[in-house]
Amino acid sequence: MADDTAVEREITVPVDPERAWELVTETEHLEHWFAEQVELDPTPGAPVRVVGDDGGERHGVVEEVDAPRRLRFVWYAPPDGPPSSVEIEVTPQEGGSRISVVERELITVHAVGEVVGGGAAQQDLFALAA
Amino acid sequence: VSDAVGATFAALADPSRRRMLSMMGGSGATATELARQLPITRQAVAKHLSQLASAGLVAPTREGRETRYRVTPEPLEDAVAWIVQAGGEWDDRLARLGAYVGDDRTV
Repeated sequence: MADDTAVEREITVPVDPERAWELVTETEHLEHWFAEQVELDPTPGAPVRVVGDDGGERHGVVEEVDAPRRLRFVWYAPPDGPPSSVEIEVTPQEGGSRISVVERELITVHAVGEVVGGGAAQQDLFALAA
Repeated sequence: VSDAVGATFAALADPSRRRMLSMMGGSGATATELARQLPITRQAVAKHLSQLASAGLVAPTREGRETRYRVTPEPLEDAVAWIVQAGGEWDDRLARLGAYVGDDRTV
């Protein structure tokens, strides 16, 4: 498919962008909403490890950080879940901040089950996350 | 087979239709509910829904004066399954974030 397979969501929170940035990058806050256990250091190349309340794990790596505005990481569910990238953006808004999220699947799986792209990206990711 | 795959691709090629699928979740949605959350008219939503239904990706059920659409229970195409799953996860996460910030304005 030519288009990305992506989901987009956003929420407006009544805190200034610096606080909003802390909400999306600091473990202490992330573990209140993102997942049960979150290992995330907002530094490019830093490993990401997330454990959900169902015990499911995701591993990944931070790709881009533009504090206090944008954070992007790639992750996948071991051993071979489809990798996806997550971009979180904080934008100032009247009375607070908007936090928007775009998650994009990095591998496009053909309707008949054939992988049509992204194989190299997944190998790179596995190498980084190993 | 190729007709069915072609219809699935055509139905998924449009970002609004993919967004609509990810918004339906387990309980489905009506055209009115979807139009409320999307920057397109109810009429446009209804047209997208009929394309998704022709591709077999959603199934309509009558509900009073409205029609509720649910993602079909047949094994979902991978792309659709991913969108529904990832979209649902973010809905949950952002709902928790909203509650967390709402509970404690000092964070």
